This record gives sequence, structure tokens and C-alpha cells, in this order.
Amino acid sequence: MSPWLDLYDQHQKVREGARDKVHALRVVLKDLAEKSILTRECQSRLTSATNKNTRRTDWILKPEPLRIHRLGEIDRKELMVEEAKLTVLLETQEDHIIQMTLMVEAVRRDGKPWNIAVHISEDRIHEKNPNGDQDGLGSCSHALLHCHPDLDHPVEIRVPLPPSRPPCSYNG
Amino acid sequence: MQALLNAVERDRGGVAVVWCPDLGLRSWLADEVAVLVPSARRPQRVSSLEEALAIPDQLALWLPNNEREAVLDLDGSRDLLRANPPRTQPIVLFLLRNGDGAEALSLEATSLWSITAGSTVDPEELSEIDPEVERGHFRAEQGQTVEEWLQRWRKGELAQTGQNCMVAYKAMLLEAT
Repeated sequence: MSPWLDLYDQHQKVREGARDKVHALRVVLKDLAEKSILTRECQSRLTSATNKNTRRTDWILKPEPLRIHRLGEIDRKELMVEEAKLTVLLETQEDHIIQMTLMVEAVRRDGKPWNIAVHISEDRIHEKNPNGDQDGLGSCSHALLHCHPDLDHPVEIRVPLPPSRPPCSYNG
Repeated sequence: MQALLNAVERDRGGVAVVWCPDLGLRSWLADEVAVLVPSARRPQRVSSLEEALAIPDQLALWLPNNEREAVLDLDGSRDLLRANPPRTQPIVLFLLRNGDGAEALSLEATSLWSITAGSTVDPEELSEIDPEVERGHFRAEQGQTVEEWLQRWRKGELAQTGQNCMVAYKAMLLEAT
């Protein structure tokens, strides 16, 4: 198996065990709320809605204020971020993650935006998404976890990243 | 999830019932309740009434092996919940929607049924939405149909903000595919 296909398989495995991953995310939100990095009881605002016809479920945490300067390991002066918001989005079906977005939107002291996001692309193949989660050009076009320089320009050649540990390995 | 939290919060020394669609989700829902409440409430799983009564100042998450027996035990021991020291945290009983416990609660444990009436919750059922109704809400909020909004989103005409990503997820959930 080529390294790229192997990488794709590893990424696909990240999609399984959706309920446990939602729970693991809630554990992280609770920890951040109890450290006053997120607002009180933020973990309860990760809410779900299930389409009764398709049985697909959205898990949504609306943009929440994130006191990023309280993260001990981040030096605020160096980061120069004044305010930040965290958004958490998942779409699941049965115990499978269809897509996921974690996004931090911040404003630097100089007023410029500072954003970081992790997307797991939609893998459902349908008329509007004929290629599923395979996108971009190049031998690593299928790399689910990838980086690109900004959020508003579609990437043509993805820079692949290895599958990261799921949030269940978070230990505060 | 807020409804689940409300049911647990309603009567701090009482009993809440969480309806579960199956055994796998029962365990997951118990984990979810444990993480929804503040750590100070020290949630702990228990498997019997005795274990629950032994921790009056902790949130007891009871996943009974025998649901009918658990319901009848609890119905017959309601006074113990108010005994000294009185409970400061509720007992949360996780029962299968159509299981023996549900039947016992409605037919044999009518006192327990009445005191838990406002503290029962079916989180899976509550999270269900009617897509046609929600499509109407979407149009009222966004001024466009789900398809019109998604067409602009997929063409890259809308900024990749957290707010827009959230609307995109809602739209895709309602999209006819």
C-alpha cells in the first residue's frame, strides 16, 4: 500500500467512534470552562439536532468567547491576541463522523485576524459533493488532515499532516 | 443537552429519570451526564440503591441490571432520600424507553412516577427535528432557502467564519440529498 493510501486509511479510522469523540470533546470543553478559559458550563452548550428522516446529527457549539491568554503555555505578548472565539461543529450518522470543524477566530492586538481551523471534510458522496472527502490535486490530494495558508481561498495542493491523536487522549 | 441538565438540576435531593434507546447509549448517556455537571458534584456510577444512598452528597448515576427491581426499590425507599443526612445531590436513574423499568414506573410505582414527572428526559427524542419545519425556520432567519444559501457557500462567496460554518452545517443537515 502506498504511504498516501495508508495515510488515507488512518484518517478514515479517525471518523469511527463518533459518540466517544463527542464525549471526549465535551470533556475538553468542561476542563477549559472550569479553568475559566471558556465560559461557565460551556460543555452543556455543545448541543445536538437529529434529522428524523436521515438520522444524521449535528453537534454545534456556537462561537464561544475563548480567553486564550489564560492558556498557560501560550505567552500572550508573543501571541498578541486580544480576543478569540471557539466554534465546534460535527455532523455524525450512527457512530460515524461525516464532517467536523474546530475553529478559533481571534483578533491580534494590531487588529488583524488570526485564525486557525481543523476540518475533517464531508465524506458523503452525493450530487453536490461527488468526490466525497477527496479534494485538491497532487499525490496527497486525499489527505484529510491538511493545512493551508488561509481560510478563504480553496486549496489546490494540500499539505498533508499525519493523523493526530483523537481528543480522547487529551489529559488536560 | 440543556434539557438533560435541567432534569438533573430540578430537584437536588430527588430522583431524575433518563430514558435511553438502548444499552449502548445508556452507558454513553451516563458518561454525558457526568461531564455535563460541574466536577464539584462528584458524579459516580452506582449499581444498587444501597450504593446510591451511601453517597448522599454525590450525583449518583444508577444503571440498574434489573430495571423493575430498581424502580420498585426506589419507590419503596423514597423516605430514605429525605433521611439524615438529607441528599444534596439527586439519584439519576437510567432506564430503557420500552424496558421493564418503564412499565414498572407507570404501572406499579405511581408515587415515584409522580415525583419524577418533571425530572424525566429523553435526550435522544428531544434532539430530533422535523426537517420541513426547520427548513422554514432557516428561510426566515437567512432570507434564503437551504439550497440557495449552500450554493453561495459552495461557490466560496461567503467568508469562512465560525458563524457561517455553523449555518453551513445546519443547512447541510436539512439539505435534500
